[in-house]
Amino acid sequence: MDNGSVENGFIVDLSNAKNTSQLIYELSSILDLPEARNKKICLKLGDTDLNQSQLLSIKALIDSMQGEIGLIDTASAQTKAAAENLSILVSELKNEVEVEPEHQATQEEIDTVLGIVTTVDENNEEKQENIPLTPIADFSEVAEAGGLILNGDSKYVMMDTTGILPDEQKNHEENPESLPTLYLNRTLRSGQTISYEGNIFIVGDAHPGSELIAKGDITVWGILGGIAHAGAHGNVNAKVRALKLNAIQLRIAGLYARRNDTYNVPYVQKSNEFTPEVAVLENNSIVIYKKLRRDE
Amino acid sequence: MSGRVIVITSGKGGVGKTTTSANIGTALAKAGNKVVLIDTDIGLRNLDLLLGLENRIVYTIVDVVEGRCKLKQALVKDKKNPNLSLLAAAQTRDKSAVSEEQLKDICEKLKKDNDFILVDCPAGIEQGFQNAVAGASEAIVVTTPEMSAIRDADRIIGLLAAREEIESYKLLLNRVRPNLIATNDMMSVEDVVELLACDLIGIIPEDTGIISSTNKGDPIVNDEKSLAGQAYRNVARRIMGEEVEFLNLEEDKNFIGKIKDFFEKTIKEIKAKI
Amino acid sequence: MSFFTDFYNKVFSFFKPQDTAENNVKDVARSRLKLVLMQDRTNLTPKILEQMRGELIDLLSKYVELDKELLELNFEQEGDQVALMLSIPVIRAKDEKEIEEAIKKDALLKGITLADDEEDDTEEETGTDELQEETDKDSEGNQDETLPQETSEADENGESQAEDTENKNSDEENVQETV
Repeated sequence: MDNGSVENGFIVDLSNAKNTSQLIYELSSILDLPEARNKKICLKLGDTDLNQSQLLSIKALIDSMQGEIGLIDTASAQTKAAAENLSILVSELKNEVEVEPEHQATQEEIDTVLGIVTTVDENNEEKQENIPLTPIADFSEVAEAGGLILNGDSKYVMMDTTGILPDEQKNHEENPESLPTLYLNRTLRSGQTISYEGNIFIVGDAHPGSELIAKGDITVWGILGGIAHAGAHGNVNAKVRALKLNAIQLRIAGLYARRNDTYNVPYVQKSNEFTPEVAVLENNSIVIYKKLRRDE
Repeated sequence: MSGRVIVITSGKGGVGKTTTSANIGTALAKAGNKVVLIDTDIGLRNLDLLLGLENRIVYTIVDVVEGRCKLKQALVKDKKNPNLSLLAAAQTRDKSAVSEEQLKDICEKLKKDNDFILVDCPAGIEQGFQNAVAGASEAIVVTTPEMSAIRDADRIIGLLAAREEIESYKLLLNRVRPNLIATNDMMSVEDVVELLACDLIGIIPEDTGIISSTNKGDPIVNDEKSLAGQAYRNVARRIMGEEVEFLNLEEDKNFIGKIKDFFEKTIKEIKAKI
Repeated sequence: MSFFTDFYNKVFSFFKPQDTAENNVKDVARSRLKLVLMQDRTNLTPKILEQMRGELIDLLSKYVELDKELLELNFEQEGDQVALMLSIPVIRAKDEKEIEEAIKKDALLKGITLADDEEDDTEEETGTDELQEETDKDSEGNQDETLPQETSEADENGESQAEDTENKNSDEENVQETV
């Protein structure tokens, strides 16, 4: 969202819907989610042309599901006109998609992410110092800033690892696609460790007491309950994904987060509903996003 | 300061060693002592669960022994009491990962900065037990008043008595049910002490509160109302040298309760006669 | 509470059952445990105890007539010391002639093996018992022996007694070979 930020906002991206009926179908299934209740819905409509009556029925649908239209994003002039007629706020979206040139992250930028400051002293030797981590207890700030859906409750707390971790770790960026991937079709139990110089993909659960240590990403097609360490050699781009993220400890590169004590999940709750989540490094912290957006 | 290294062992599994270690450790720390708890049950660790610290473990005793981290880095401070630290066992290895010498070395190092080092021993008499007693100079033998536990405790006492380094060993009788003792269905405290010929350091009553304290990760000594908690606190005081009378474990029953007990006992005796 | 128990005791005292060992679960447990603990501490299985009992009976029967049924062999604990207690009702003591015959008979049965040096144990035991018998002959009641003492005495007296035995028998029977 470029212009205007919405309080208590919920973004629904329907720009890839091929026709109106598909749009409405997707919208209704998304509105069914508990997170969508009582929020201001921001619709991203992309190129889809909608006339006034169609837009009105969409509005009615949202109203019936205890939501409210906040604003819409559209590239279509027709939709824009229809929205204005219905007094629905429209956000400006440029037609051109700006392609950002591939950005090679400098070491400085990487260090900022990780909270490390590099200084050069008299002897021209580089010295790295850790900026003490500030635990982000409340993820809603991040939600408002970026407009992405997050875990509302503070399920995870950053761990202070100053003085604990080895200093030799070189932080860098690496594209997980360039790494080999280990594919496992089984459930890991307590006491089992998988360590791999690449990505790890598990079809199954990882029970509390198990460990997954990967140079690249970790993806669990199931419930992740144990310890997961992605980017174990210092890759700050690494991510941890799971259909249900219940890890006892999440570690990405050199940053460690532990499950909060007050979050009472005595053992993994098996349920038929999964809420896919991904944990990434951002702003000197590990942040968890719910995977409702198709792009990362 | 030179700390006291006490091993908490039993022989038989499931009698309450880990619960005892967690609770005595917490009680000693609450009284102002600097305490380190060591879990030597490598491969099947539990002490971290009882203290509610399972989320905070980064390094374990195996990491220390294999040089991946310093001893200080592996000590996890307790949630509530900074006087108390835990050296956790590894979940992914087994008891051959650590040797007696290494454990003894760790105990020696910890003695310098701490008042008490409590070593939680795994069940059995093999490598795990050998490791756990390696650095200890005192022992607490935990048993319940039932046949197999007492037999195993006797074996352990024999093994401890044969070790010169163990200067003293005391008995802790756990999961005592006074109502069963009253009806002669369970051996009394005196019976057990007589059979094992060992001095008593504590009598802990059976308490269903232990289950929820384990589930919450909050040792029962933190519960002021629990009888078992109080009994554990008394054990800590005795360890510190205080003379504390053993608790009267008969539950404070109301009048109706006492009448009920009386009738139950009578009926039982009459039935026996018939 | 005590008022009730007093009342109960007075009125129903004739109903009061004997708390026999079988009824009392805890006493059963206690006696079982006692036995088990003794066995564990001294490394003797029930089978070995039976064997020991049998051999002791045979041995002692040579010198005194025993009531074998009433023979008791138990471990007792005093503090942390364990002792083997043997309790044998003696019907009557045998006179010298009977004892000699019994010893001869025993030798016959064991025959060749007595000649072996390795069988010194048997000879030593015999010697010890003779000595014990002489000292304890006065007490015709129960006879208590403690195992540790027995073995130490055997070391001292075995040799001299063995010689005596040999001398006694060399004239009469040629079964015994000289050592």
